[in-house]
Amino acid sequence: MNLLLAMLIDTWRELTSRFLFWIVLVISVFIVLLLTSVGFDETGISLWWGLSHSEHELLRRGTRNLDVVYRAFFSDVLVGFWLTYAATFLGLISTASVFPDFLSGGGVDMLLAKPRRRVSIFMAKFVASLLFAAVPVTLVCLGVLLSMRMALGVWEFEILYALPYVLLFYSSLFAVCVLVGTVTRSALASVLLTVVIWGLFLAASTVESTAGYAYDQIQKNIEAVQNGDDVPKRKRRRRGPPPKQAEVEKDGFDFAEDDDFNEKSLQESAFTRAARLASLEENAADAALTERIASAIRWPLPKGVEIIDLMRERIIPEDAPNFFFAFGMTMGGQPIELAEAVGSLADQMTDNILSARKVRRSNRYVIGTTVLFQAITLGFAIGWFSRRDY
Amino acid sequence: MTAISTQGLKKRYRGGIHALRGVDLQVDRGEIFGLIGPNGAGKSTLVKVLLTIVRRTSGSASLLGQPVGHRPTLAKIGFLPEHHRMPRYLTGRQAVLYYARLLGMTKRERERRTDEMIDIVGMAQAAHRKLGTYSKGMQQRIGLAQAFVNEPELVVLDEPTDGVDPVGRVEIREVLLQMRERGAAIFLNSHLLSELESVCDRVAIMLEGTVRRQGTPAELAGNPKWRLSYQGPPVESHSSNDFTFEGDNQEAQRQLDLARQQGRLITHFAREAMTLEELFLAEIRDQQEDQP
Repeated sequence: MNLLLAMLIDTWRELTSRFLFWIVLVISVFIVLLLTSVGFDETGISLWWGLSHSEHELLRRGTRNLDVVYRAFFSDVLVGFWLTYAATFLGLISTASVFPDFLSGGGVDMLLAKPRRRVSIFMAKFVASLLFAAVPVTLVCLGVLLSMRMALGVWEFEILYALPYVLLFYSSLFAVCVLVGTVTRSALASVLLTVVIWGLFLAASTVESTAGYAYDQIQKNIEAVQNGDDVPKRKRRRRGPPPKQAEVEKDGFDFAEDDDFNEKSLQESAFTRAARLASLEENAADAALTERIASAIRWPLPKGVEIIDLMRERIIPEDAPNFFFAFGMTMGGQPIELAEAVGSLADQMTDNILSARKVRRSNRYVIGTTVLFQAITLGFAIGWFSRRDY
Repeated sequence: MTAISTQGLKKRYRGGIHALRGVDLQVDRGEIFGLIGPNGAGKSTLVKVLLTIVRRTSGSASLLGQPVGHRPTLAKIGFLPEHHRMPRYLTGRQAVLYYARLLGMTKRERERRTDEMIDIVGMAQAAHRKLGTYSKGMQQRIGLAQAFVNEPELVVLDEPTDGVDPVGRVEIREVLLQMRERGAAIFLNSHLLSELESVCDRVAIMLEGTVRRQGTPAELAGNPKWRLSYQGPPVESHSSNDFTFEGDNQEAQRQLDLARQQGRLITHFAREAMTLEELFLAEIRDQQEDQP
């Protein structure tokens, strides 16, 4: 405990001596200040701590629009973009040199000569380094908690769920950064390789979800072909009186009146359909194989995208529209229920990729494999650190 | 009781470099022991092996009677590495407190000892400045303060006066003597031979990963040199009336009597001890001659 405390204090001092840490902190404080400057009452919205006020039918205290827009802003913009990507990237840049510096000659000697196990020293330094991410995230979460209390009149403690999820996301990347830094002892190499590996994680995730989505779509097309739903409803030029309704409903064609339709075209259609079915089945097999390969590759990798989805689900309802959509609808004077309905319809129509993935990935799987990845990555780093001569 | 003991200690780095080729060494408690050797002789590797920074390939070693790597023993040891790099964002006092905390000292104890050591090394005025603003000599003093903060029974110092001006060196030497008075064994790695000579009770000469010679400076010097000058022509068996010779006290007395018996007026008679530097250079020459 004494070691961890010593490392925490030391790392805190180290971080506060870094310019980037202060940039991230200042931006976070600025965001929180901006949030708290916006207030709501029964008639509308006030800006700059009440200096300016405008009435709004939907953005006023007590409306569902305000509740959803506010939560979605926190989840999608503050956490989904700022804390997850921008602050994480800045955090990686800023902390990339922590381990290479720590392992530099003359510095590590003095630590290793102390009555501490190497594993303990390493883990204490790692945990302490997570402060970089923890401090801005905590600051933003507390700021949002406070501003929601001020704006909506309620304490929304679910906001604090962002803290463990963002830290889990950040720490999985930081573990890679630490491993590279421990092996190469170069801050530049560790930040560059981590960003490249991060990109590969995202690419693998995109390939898997795209292949899964493609497979589902192809399966639907196959079903459509098998059921004959893919036969185009031709617009026909009619001569004479309209056909009887019963005849038209039979096949969707007006056999009697269609000049272009004959036995030959029916045969051609059957051949074409068979060929199309074979082609679709081949494509489906390719998509399924690609998805399986991507899924197998991703199994041991951190599930960054899914972690952020899990966090979002904790904070706002699963079917809630995203911030930009909800905000746009609200500003357009539409009730949030409409935005939710449209969003839900859009999801159904497009068979939303993320939703499809969520069905296949349980929370335990997402968190478990991410933690496992971290443990293995850190295990390699600790093994390297422990066995190396300095 | 021994502070440091090594038997057949070997270290072979990856790539086949033999840094230590069987080091046998013994340092007693309460003495200042100096290790000298040219660059690449294996001095720093030996220190690192003793303090578990580098793992030995074979052989055995013990510190304060416990095998190397015994963690509670490391809490009784102070260490200042060569080219040390303490965190630049800490003040001098914070740095000493940080290392004291890592040693497991209680809050009250580490604060008391930190202030005491900072005072001893003469850094009280600058204790609250960041290390990044310190000169090399000031950093070295803070390094010494952290090495002694736990009232160690054994202190290992690798080039402690590196980059320190002559006044600072004298002050550091005084600190070392003061610590020896308190009963600490001090193991000193340095290439400043005159410095080692002035403070060390015993020294060892290390060349190519082995200890060639060890003992007190007098023991290493062997028979001292004498210089004799007198007026008048040289007596029989003397090459000149101003000459130097090697021998023990009896031999010196015999040469002196010989000159007096011949009625020569002695103008100069002095013992010219071999300096550590001469010893070291002689050892290097021997080594070079031994090489095919």
